[in-house]
Amino acid sequence: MAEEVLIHVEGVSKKFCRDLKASLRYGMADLAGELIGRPRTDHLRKSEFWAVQDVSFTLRRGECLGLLGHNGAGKTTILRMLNGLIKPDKGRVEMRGRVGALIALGAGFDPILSGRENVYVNASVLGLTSREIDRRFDEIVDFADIKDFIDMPLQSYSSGMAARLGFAVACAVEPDILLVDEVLAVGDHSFRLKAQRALREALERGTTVVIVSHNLHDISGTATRCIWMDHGTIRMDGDTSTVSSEYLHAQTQVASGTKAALFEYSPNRRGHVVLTRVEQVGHPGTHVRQVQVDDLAKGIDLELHYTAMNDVHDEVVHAINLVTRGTMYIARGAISSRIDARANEPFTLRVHVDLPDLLPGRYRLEHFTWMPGGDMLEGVLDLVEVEVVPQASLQRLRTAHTPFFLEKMTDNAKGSVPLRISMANSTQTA
Amino acid sequence: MKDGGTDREGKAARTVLAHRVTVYSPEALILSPRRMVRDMVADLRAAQGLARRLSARDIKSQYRGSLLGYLWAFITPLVSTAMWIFLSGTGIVKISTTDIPYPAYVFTGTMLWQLFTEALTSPLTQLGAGRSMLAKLNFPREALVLSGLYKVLFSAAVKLVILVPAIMFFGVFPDLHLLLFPLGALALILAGLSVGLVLAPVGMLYKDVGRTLPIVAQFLMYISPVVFAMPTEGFTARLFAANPMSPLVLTARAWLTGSASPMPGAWAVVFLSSIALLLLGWVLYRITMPVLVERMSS
Repeated sequence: MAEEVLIHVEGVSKKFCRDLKASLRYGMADLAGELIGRPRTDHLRKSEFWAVQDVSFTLRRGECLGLLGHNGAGKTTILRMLNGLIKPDKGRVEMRGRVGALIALGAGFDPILSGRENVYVNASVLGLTSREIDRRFDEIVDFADIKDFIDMPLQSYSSGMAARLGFAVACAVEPDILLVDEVLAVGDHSFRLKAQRALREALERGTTVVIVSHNLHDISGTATRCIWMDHGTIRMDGDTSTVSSEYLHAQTQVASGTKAALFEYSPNRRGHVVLTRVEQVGHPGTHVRQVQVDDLAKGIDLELHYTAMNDVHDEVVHAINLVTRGTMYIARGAISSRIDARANEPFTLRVHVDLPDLLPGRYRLEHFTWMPGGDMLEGVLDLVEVEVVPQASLQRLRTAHTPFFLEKMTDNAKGSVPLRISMANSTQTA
Repeated sequence: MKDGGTDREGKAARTVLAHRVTVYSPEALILSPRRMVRDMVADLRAAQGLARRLSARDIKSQYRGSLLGYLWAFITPLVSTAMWIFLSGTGIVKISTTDIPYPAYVFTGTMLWQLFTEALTSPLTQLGAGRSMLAKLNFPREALVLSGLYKVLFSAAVKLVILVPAIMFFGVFPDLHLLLFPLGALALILAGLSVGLVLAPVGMLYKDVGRTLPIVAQFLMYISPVVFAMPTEGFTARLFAANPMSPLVLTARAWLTGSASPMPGAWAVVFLSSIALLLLGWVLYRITMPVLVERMSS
């Protein structure tokens, strides 16, 4: 049975004004309009623009929607309309149940008052009664992990501690609908994990969550569905992995300035690092899509240029598969290497692939980068196309110590040979 | 605020399956007055707990960071009284005789006037301080104004505590009329609050209002029987008599100092009209809030 609909957004638009003076003037006009009961003007006045245009979606109990998009794409504006802070200029928003918002952590916090006093104020602002706060107080302090500091004035807290306290209070509200705006980015790693766990627990309780972020990491962990906002309109609406890979893809294109799709991506990629260019060693500056192999013994040397979307400091596993132009696996190999990359910074990896004995023809290389935990950082199904010229195979046949083998393989995995690869961090940056 | 909102058919915001449905649409709230009034009452009720916390927070935080603490509540009126006593004592300012000793007259006058101005500036101050909360959180908007009122009431209570011994020191003794004094003080506060609330929406958009308010209040004080006695003749007499603040100040002072209100009729009219103005201001405040929040952050 389908769960009940908690959020229904229908054709919602919102306009903003670029010019402060004009904005105030329109504000006065809108005030007057509200008083005489005139509906909002649905056309643009001078220096106005649509911050959100014709957005519709429906969310059911227990669903988690991620709103993705560049800065100014309208994500937060949508969230504020869902929260009833601002009215839509067109369309209609229906919210069912108690709404909690993690838009501003620690609203109403006063630096001079103690953590304890601030918990009470903040929770009241979020709509809890005194009795509810009394009941949940210990839980809040535990979650925030600041037991020793709770009676100290808030100004003695670190910003991370204050954020944790704010988040803990917001979580204690236990709403039907939870709106989260970029707040998971604060705090250290363990706090973020804790926050994500809290969100997942809320989802299990049947809370509907809308989470706004430009950081895929926050969204991919929790959201089941994603809406990609682009200049106020919905560019894509679908399951998280599809939308986020498309989103990344576009980000990459923006970064590299190309229009066409760079690669065919694995649907499971999380895209914490994004492959932006493949170069053949010795040919810098050219993005190669096809490598011609004249001598099988030499193998293939590639330089992979990446941009990190998030901080990555980990030992990762690279898997490279050599595949026929169909989907038959001929050889597979894996190697681990360390990636140290900061968000939004480029880095380069050098990879050498030993080729097995191959018949002339076209093959392709797949390349996946895995986190030890199992998240696929990047997954490209067509790293390069490998064209083995007839001479290469013939030469190999002449010099081979072992009999030439290449059986017809019917099963993907069965029968594939190990692919030897080696990898190095390149000092050269993109 | 959670059950605020409008609906084209005018039937949303109704409890379905134990869940409140809230609808936000471009239609003006004022078009469904019945729901608006119901929401106003519900929100006012919901706002009380929050308003108490917010006012307690502000009062605590205001005095916790200072050496003299709560004494500050008395210092300002004491200083201004001392100043007026000095001015009149040295003859720099010529003051007509008052029916109670002049120091007591000025002292009560400035204290009472302070109640009015505190209440007058309170809505704008509260909205200014609560700006980020307003922009980011949905809570009963009434809580901000209400907590402002609570703070003024707190300050009124503190003032009363020193007013009575102070005027007794000057040789004026309250009688049973003192029981009416809270009402007199309330009338002053409500008058200030209602004007402040009506001006608040425009004041949130344009800073000019916030700047003008103290200037006007200052001017208003000089044409009210605060430091001057009511003039008996000439243009100023007509000005004082026409000033709606005069009956409020005179009445509160009379009740405090042990006499009946000199102009009870006018007092009642002003009191009732300020209640009416307060209700109007409340409606204005509610209706205009989404527009204000929008302009606050864009």
